[in-house]
Order: sequence, then C-alpha cells, then structure tokens
Amino acid sequence: MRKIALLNYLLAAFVCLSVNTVVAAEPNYQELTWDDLMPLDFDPNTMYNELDFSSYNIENMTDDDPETQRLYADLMDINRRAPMVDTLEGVYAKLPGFIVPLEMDGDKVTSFFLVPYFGACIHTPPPSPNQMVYVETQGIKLKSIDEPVWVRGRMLVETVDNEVGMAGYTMYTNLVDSYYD
Amino acid sequence: MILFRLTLKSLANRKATVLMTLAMLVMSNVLLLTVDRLRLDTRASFANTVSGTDLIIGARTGSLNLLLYSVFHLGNATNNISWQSYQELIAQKEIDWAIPISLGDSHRGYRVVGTDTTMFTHYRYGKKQNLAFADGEAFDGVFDVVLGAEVAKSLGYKVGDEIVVAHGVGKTSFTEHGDKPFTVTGILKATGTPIDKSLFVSLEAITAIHVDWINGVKLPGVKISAEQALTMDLQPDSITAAMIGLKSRMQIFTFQRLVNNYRAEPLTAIIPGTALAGLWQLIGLAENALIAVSVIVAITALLGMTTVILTSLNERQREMAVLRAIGLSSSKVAALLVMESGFYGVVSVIAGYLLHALSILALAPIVQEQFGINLSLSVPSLALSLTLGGFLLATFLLGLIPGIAAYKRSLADGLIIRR
Repeated sequence: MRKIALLNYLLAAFVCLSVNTVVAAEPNYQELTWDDLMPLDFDPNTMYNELDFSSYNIENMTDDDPETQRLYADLMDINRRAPMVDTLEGVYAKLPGFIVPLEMDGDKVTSFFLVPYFGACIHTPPPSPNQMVYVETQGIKLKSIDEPVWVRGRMLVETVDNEVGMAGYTMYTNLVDSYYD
Repeated sequence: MILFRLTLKSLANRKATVLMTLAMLVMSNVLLLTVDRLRLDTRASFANTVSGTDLIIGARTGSLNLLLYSVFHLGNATNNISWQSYQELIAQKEIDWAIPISLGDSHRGYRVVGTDTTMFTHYRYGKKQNLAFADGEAFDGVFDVVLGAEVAKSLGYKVGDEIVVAHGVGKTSFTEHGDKPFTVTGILKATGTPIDKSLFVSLEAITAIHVDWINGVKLPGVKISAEQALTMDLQPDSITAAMIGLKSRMQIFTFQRLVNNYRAEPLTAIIPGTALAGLWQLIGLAENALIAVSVIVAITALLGMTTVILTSLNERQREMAVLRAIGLSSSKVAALLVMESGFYGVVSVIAGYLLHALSILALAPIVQEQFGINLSLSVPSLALSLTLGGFLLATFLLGLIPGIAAYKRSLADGLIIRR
C-alpha cells in the first residue's frame, strides 16, 4: 500500500514538473499581421510631402531622364526612413510571409527576408523597411520560394544603418513552418 | 551449407541465363548508385561558393545565368558593364565594398579572372571565410598573376613561374597573348569552390593584353610590347560583373531596384541566396525525376529476375526430382530457390557497386570539364543504403514465389516427369 502511494506521489510530482517545464519553455506566440508592423499614424504621403516637388518638372520628365533618377533616389531616401513600431520589441510573434533567401549553407537557408508578398525581390517599388523582417536561422530547408510560411520568434527592432538612421525588424529563430500545415 | 553449395552447382549449370539475369540486376543497381552520387556531388559543387555578398550585378540577363557565369564560371556573359556605369553605381552612398570581375580569357582550360585587390580582402565563401594565401601574395604589377590551388597543383606551378594567357575560355585556344607573359606572385589555399580553378590578374592586365587586339583578333602588323603597354592608359572600358556589399542589408531591395532600373545601360542585380535557391529548385525537379526512374528500373529488374527463376522451374523438374529422391524435403527445395534469388541479390549489389565505381572514375574528368561538377567515390548516403538493403531483402522475399511453386510441385511430382 505504501509503495503504491509513494509511486503515485512521484508520478504526480513528475507530471506537475514536466507540465511546468513545458509551459515555461513554450512562449505564447502572438499572431501578427503585416499591418501591425506599421505605426498607426504612418502615412507615406506626409513623408513624401517633405520633398520639394517644384524642383522637378514632372510633366515633362521621361523614364530616361536623369532627373527621374534623382526623384526616384529622393523617394527611396524617404522610404528608407519609414518608422518602426517600437512596442513590438521583444514580443513573441507569429508572422506569415514569403522567404527571400540571402545566405545559404549548402541547400539550407541561413538568413532571409520575410516579406508580405511573393515577388518582392522584383516588385517595384520594393517593400518599405517596416514591411520586411530580417530572419537569421541555423539552416532551414526551403521547400520552394513561392510557398508561404509561418515564422515564429522574438521580434527585435534593431538599428541597421547608423548613417541613415535606418532601423529594421529582426528575428533570430529556427521556427519556420509551412503555412498550409 | 549444403544447400548453398547445391544452389551454386545448380546455377553453374545454367551459366548463360545466370549471367544475363545478373547483368539486368547489376545495371539497375549501377543506376541507383550513380544517380545518388550525381545528386550529392552536384549539391556539394554548387554549395558554399559565395557568402556575405549582398548583390551581384552584371549586364541584363537571366538571374540564374548571371549567378552561373559570375560565381561558378559556367556559361558566358552576353554583354559587359561599362566602366562608367560601374563607377557611378559604386559611388552611391549605400555601397560598402565592390569587387569587379572581368572574364573572357583562360589558361589551359582554367578561367582567368580580371579583378582588383578587393577580391583578396572582401571575397568570402563557405561560412564567411576569406581567401588566404598558401604561398606568395596578391598581384601588384600589371603582369602579375595569382593562382587558385587546383591550377597550381595540376599544372605544377610555383611562385615565380612564367605563364601565358590565352584568349577565349576553351581548353585550347589558337589565339594566345604570348607577347605578354605573366609572373606568378601568389598561390591561394584550397577553398573547395571554383576559386581553386581560377587565375587572378588585375583589371589593368586584361586591358594590357588586349591593347593591340580588336574584336578578339590580334591586329596584324601592330606590335605593342609588354613594356610599351605599361606606359599606356590601362583603365578598363568595361567589366563583366561585380560583387557588392552594402552598408546595411535592409538596402538590398532598394539598391537592386536602382541597378535594375538604371537607365544608362541594361543591367541586372541578383541576390545570390535567392538565385541559388532557384537553382536548387530547378535541380530538385530533375533529381526527383531521375530517382523515380531508377526506382522503377530496379523494380523492373526484380520482377524480371523472379520471372526467370519461375520459368526455369520447368526445365529443372528432373533436378528437383533427383534432389527429392536423395532425401531433400520439399521445404528445403523451396529454400534452395530463395537462396538462389538471394544470391542474385548479393552478387548484383557487390558487382553493381564495383561497376559504379569504375563508371565514376571514367566519367569524372568529362563531367568536371563540361559541367564543373566534382564526381567522387564515397560511402552511399543513408537513404540509398536503406534502399539497397531493401533491394536485397526484396530479392530474398521474391525467391519465395518460385520457392512456393517448387514446393507445391515437388509434393505432387515424383521421379516421373510430367509434361
């Protein structure tokens, strides 16, 4: 009788401990949308209004014009300074998106950009910096670049370019799963 | 043991059939082994060649094409980037470093790469490793050359040797730059990438050796010596491609757009990781098709073997009858056939591996030259080992089909042969 009681006690203790460890180890990933990554008051138009459009003769500019290049460069400058949502720092997030691989180790991807739509690498204009997440992994197998994935990890807001004052979202995680599972 | 000896003696009686059946099984094994080896070696050859590079720019072409000719030296560029465009692009504030590359010449089948010293300070491969020198140092003078590890090893060059560069990228060239020899100043350590099979000279050197050439032809009657060339303006007119590092990786997309939309010249900028991923996808399709075919061939061979053994039972009625008469039980007769089938399996796997090894040794130099893939011999992958194990098991199990047939017959037949 006493042996069974002891065993029961040990079993209960084991279960409690293991449940605790499981619960403690697995953070609750908050499902985010790409809109959550942009500040509520973010309006690219107000930023673009900083440009002095009178310096450009827009009606008469063609694609080939070097002035067009200059306007594009100015617009891109503004784009670069897109604000981040600082309250997302440290949040355990779950975000869906497409992978644009940056570094590969063999046939495994070790770092990539997570972007909201497929074709971001050739779409003009490119996604705004607050619509991209830089993810570093220890090497994940990439099924196909046109398949969406869920990425779970701790969201960080890092300054990536001190000169321009540019910041970006970053995650260091290996939890990349297929969107359709 | 007796059963095994009986099996062998029985097979020795039907040598021609046995050899043909073995050939069929060996072929299927060779196919399985070779396809697997090709798959693994292709991946190894392409992986880990470029690292830490944000973008590669070149004249407008397909992204895979640009990746292949700029990094892997496979295929050719259809056009160049003008020096002016290159200078304008690398003057942009997003740029951290840039390595220019000029291709088009070769030395005994190995590609000559015109570049500048940023190649030795900024180029990284594998796990962000820099290039290192095994001997000597980077080029300094116009007619200095640095060799990749493989070039130095296979052609037996040392620091201080003189070599002549040929025009074009074939193994043989009928147009050489014989009047402007180069001196080896350094030999790089092995990297396991196409770097090992390249020779590196300065951009000015490429201009110098073509200074009395037009359109790939040495102008007859025009002789500009090496010394004379050194006094001329050797700034290049164009380069083939460039590898670029940006100050911030978040700028990758924006700079890529800048290059792709560059109005002065049609250019393309690719993200190496994305282009590589595309390459894997393409190769993956072909690989899966090849694997499916090999598996089907193996199944076909196994079924063929079973058919051969089954049909041979008719001719072996007397043999079975004699064996029964001397005291072999029906189940042992069945076991005989299972052993025969298993024998086919074991011999075909061993012979298959030997034939596969021979084929690899024979094909390796051709594949290396044509496709830049290093075929090697090594232990088969886990998946393949399991497949071969399954193949062996299947041969034994399939032996049960004629085995049971023989068992039933031997119960019914006596010494009288019934037709």
